[in-house]
Amino acid sequence: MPILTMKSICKNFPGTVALDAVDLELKRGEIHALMGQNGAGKSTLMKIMSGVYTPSSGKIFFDGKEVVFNEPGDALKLGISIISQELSVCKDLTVAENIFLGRVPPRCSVFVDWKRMYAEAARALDRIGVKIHPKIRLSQLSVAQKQIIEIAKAVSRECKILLMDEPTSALTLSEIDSLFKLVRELKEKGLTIVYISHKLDEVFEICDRMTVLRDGRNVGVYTTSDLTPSSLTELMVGKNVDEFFRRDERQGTGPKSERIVLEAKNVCRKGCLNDVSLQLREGEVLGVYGLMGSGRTELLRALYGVDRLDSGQVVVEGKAIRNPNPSVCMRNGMALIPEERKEQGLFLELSVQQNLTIATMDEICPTGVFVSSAIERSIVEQYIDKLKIKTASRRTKIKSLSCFNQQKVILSRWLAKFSNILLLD
Amino acid sequence: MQKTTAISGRFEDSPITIRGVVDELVLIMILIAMIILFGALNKNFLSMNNMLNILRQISIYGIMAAGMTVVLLCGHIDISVGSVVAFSGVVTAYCVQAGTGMFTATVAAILVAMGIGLFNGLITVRFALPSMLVTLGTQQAVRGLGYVITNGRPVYGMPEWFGDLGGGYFLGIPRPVIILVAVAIVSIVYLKYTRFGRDIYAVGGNKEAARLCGIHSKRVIVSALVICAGCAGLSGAIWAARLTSGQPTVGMGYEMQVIAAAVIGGTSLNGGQGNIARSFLGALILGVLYNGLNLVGVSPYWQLVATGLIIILAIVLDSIRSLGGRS
Repeated sequence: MPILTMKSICKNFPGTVALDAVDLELKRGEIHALMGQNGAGKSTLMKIMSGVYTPSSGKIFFDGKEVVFNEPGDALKLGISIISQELSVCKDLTVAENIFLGRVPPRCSVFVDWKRMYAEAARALDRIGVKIHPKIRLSQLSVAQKQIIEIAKAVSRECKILLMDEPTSALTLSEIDSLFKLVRELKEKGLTIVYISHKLDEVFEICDRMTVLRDGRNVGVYTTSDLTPSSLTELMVGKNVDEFFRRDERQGTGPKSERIVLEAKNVCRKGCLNDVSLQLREGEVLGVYGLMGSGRTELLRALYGVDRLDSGQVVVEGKAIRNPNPSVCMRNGMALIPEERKEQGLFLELSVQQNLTIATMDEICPTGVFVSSAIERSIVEQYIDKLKIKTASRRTKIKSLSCFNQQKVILSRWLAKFSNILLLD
Repeated sequence: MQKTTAISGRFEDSPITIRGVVDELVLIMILIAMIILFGALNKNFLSMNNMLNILRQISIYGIMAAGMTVVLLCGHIDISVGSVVAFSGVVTAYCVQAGTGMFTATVAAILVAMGIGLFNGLITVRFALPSMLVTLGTQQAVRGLGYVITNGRPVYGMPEWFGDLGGGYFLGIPRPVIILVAVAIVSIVYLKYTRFGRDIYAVGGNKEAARLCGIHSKRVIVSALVICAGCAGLSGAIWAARLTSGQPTVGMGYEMQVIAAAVIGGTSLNGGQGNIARSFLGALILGVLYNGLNLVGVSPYWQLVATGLIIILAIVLDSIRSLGGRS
């Protein structure tokens, strides 16, 4: 019997349907991947599984019995723990305190039994075979170690199903290896693991089965050995994948000219960038590749003048930019689309319109002071139409849009600015 | 994909616009309910004289609330405004004593106040401090400075006409009310229709995103604190005129009244949400409450209790409203 079954789960958000009659079945002791493009509904489904969201309709069965999750605590009680992409640890507390967050062992019913807490924390860490002292503060640990603390927390709660949302995105290669080893051991112990990742090679390496979602609907359930990375991509993207890529090939004809539009010369920033140089030609798509923490984000931030450079030079269109800052770089036709959309890109409480035109103020304020609503409206409508942004109206708050459409708004923000150098993180 | 469009089509503009109007309607309805209640309890409450009186009373808070809202929208706060009112009142009185006209004296008061705001702003952004703490400091320092220059005594001996700005009428309307309306119009227009207004909402909504969009967040925050202090300076001049003296002790606790007005109006202390019109409604609700309770004969002690509870009720309602929108 499957340990968890979800039947025709639907979830509506104002203005959008995130999940439309999605089914999911987890077998005991398997590693199950949840696959799909951005906005396919993976995260929403995970949040429903862990009780963060309540589904608009649909049923959940745990061990054959129907259950209703009204809050995360309900799922935790049954042994479903989630390790989300943004780790939920208290960085000023110790390892042991984090592991026992919310269920501190009591002594005489009011005091904390510190001795027992440290001993049990040590045991929980021992069980998953890691050596971290329970009295260390979380702020002193690396991201990978923090993640391991979260796993220890789940294990010490006698968790049966562990949900992992993009667990490797912040890890180095060797850390990923040890994480996988740990995940496999947990599986041997009978844990069921749900795994979300964008990295196909990881999914093929570690997962037994996968459920593929597209636009909030089921595409199907597959055994990993039945799929290849390319057939999986096709399932995730949809039927017109060939056409999609062919069109890309036709356009990907290399740089338009040999003219260098952006050049970084020996860029240095203490602690993250050490003598980095690059040249970007007109019409070229230049990939900056490296692991998390290798300085990709930092390089783009430095080029856009977000962080100060210790030495080196940024040259745009043959013109060296002195003391780059975002405002100057923007005026020189550069745009940075940041990694963290919510934290660095969006104004969640503002409308689609205001989010879209915030960088275009020079254009929509012809007098420099007053906003011309006619110009603003035409720009916004043009891009909603052009990029097929799905929104109830241009005055809708951007937080009610799906991630994908939010990203389109951010892209439009810079297209409307006629930025000719886009830095995509 | 098809389905998503179809369903979003059903919502069209409605939830957003209706909610926007509903927010204001709730405030207006609370206000009307209070007016009806107090009107029934006391005949004098609804008289023209009393209505004008309420407006005159709230004009001080209302003008300050306009400035405070701007600061709150940036995600900051200014708790030094009460002291600024006293200090700028004293400045006004000294200017008039020295023989300047009321206009010059008021401008001087506003400029001095803006100087204090500039100090608040520069310290806040330069050292990346919480404005709450910086203005806690200036609150004490400016109050102390007021005592120092006056030796702790009120500045009396003003000419006859000095009371005009506070007590006088223009076309039958109290002058402070006219100033309040002017401040309101200017504030609403610049917040809604200018680039600076957009920048304020952007900085308050997401500071990091605003920076990446080339907005000079620091400049915006400093400007907001300067505007807020300037509004307090204007209020201080009016207050001095109403008292026909410069009193270094006035304005204690005004900052809380003003923040309360903004919060009742639905301004978020986290920044990015709220607007001036609603802050004025908040100030109006507080003003009607005080005046009504007074006329009905409730003791000032109980008035305080009532105001406190109203503030809590307002934020609870606001929280319920926003939770309702999310789930």
